[in-house]
Amino acid sequence: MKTEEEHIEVREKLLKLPRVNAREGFENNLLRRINLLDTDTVKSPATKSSFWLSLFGKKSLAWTIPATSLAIIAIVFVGVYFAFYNSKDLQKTSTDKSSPNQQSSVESLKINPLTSESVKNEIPGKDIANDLEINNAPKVERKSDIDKGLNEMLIEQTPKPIVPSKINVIDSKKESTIYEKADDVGKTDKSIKQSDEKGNGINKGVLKEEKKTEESVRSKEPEKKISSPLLKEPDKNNVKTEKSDGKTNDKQVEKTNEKIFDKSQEKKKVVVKDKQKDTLKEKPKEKEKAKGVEEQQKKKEVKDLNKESLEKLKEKIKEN
Amino acid sequence: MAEYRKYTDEELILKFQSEDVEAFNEIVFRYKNKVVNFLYRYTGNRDEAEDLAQDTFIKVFRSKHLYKEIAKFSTWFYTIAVNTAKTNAKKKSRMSTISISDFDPDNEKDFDLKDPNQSPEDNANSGIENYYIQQAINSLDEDFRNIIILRDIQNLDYEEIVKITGLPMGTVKSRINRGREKLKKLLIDIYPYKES
Repeated sequence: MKTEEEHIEVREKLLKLPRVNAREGFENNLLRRINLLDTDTVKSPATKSSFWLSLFGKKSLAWTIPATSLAIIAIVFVGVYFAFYNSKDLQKTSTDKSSPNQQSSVESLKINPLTSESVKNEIPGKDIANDLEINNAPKVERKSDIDKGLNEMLIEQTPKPIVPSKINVIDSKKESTIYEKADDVGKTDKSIKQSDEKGNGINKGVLKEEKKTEESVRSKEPEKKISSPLLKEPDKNNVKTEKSDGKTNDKQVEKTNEKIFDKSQEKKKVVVKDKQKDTLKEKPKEKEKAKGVEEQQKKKEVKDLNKESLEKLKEKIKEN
Repeated sequence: MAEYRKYTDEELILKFQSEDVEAFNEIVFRYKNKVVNFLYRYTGNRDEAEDLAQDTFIKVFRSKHLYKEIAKFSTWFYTIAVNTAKTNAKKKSRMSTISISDFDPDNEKDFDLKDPNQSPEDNANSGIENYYIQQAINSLDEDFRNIIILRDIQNLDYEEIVKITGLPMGTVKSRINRGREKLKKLLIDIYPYKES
């Protein structure tokens, strides 16, 4: 309070100073400025989208419309051209690699499906050509065939038509006995199963079957020589006995031959049934082995029977 | 508008915070003359004072959510006004000022031009004495000028001045005292015949 008392005169002078009031249009000016601020805040995001208007909105810059459109078209054209050019280069490289060596062809074939698919995906309008290439590519699938140089022959080497033709040929050439027919049935079943199961590896199975059929034919050829006279011998013997010996001997011999023949037939039927069962159940290799053993046993049995019959006949002849 | 006359300043600003524009209009009505007077005494220019007053009201309008009921609305409002005045003074000080006496080295007399914005009506209202007092206030430093105007012209309390300026009470009082002494000296120099 002392300080205020010291400078009362100055304080009074300052307090007596006239009050300066705001002018009449103060509030209106204030509201106008506030509204301007609001509009500026509203317009500020709209100014961001005025880029295109600044480019094309002005009449003086009207030439920019065709210029920019032409520039965009040129860029697109160049891009598409280079894309096609690169795809053609890839195709050329793949074809060049396939021609000189088989190994290089294998590599190119390994690479090409991927590249062709990728090119197909990348380039529109190349679908037909790429599809043709893709159809050629997966035909060469096995390395063994590629190594053998059978790339072009793979389409012709379909296994199914070969198997039945060769088997038929064998059947036509042979005088097929009951054993052989049964074996053939088993083999055809095997070949069909193998063809169904293995699919691509048919050729190997076919080759094996061919070898086996040849072996079986070779093994059965002597049987014919042995078996055929034996089966036909009774007739010959009967003729001889009719001519040389009496009627009693002939009847006895005929009976013995008939019995032997019946026994052998029954045994064969039983063996054939067993074989058929075995062939259906057992695996192909085991079946083949079992068949070989059974054939040998049958041959032995037939031989034994023939020997016995011969011995009996000889004894009877001697007795007579 | 008549409904809003009964509300206090704090209630009005709270209403304005809840998007009641009529409350803002009432605040403008109550404070426009006070602010213009304060800024006129601070700047010495009426148009500038009105522009700054409008700036302060715009700041209030935009930053209404910053007000909290801890302080009085008048203190918050005057702090905004003082800050706008200070920033304006800084802007003016950055601009290069050239004395006219530099162009006339022969004539060493230093003279002041009259403010072109000072209308004859203002001069008539304030009178010559008031004009010289205003010149004395303008010649004070900013630190003293603020406080002298707030205390002796706007007639605010010491505590409120402390809150507005953010200075301690002692410095405020000392600055007021020193400011008055300077004014007295200036008024004697400018307006000596009254002393004699």
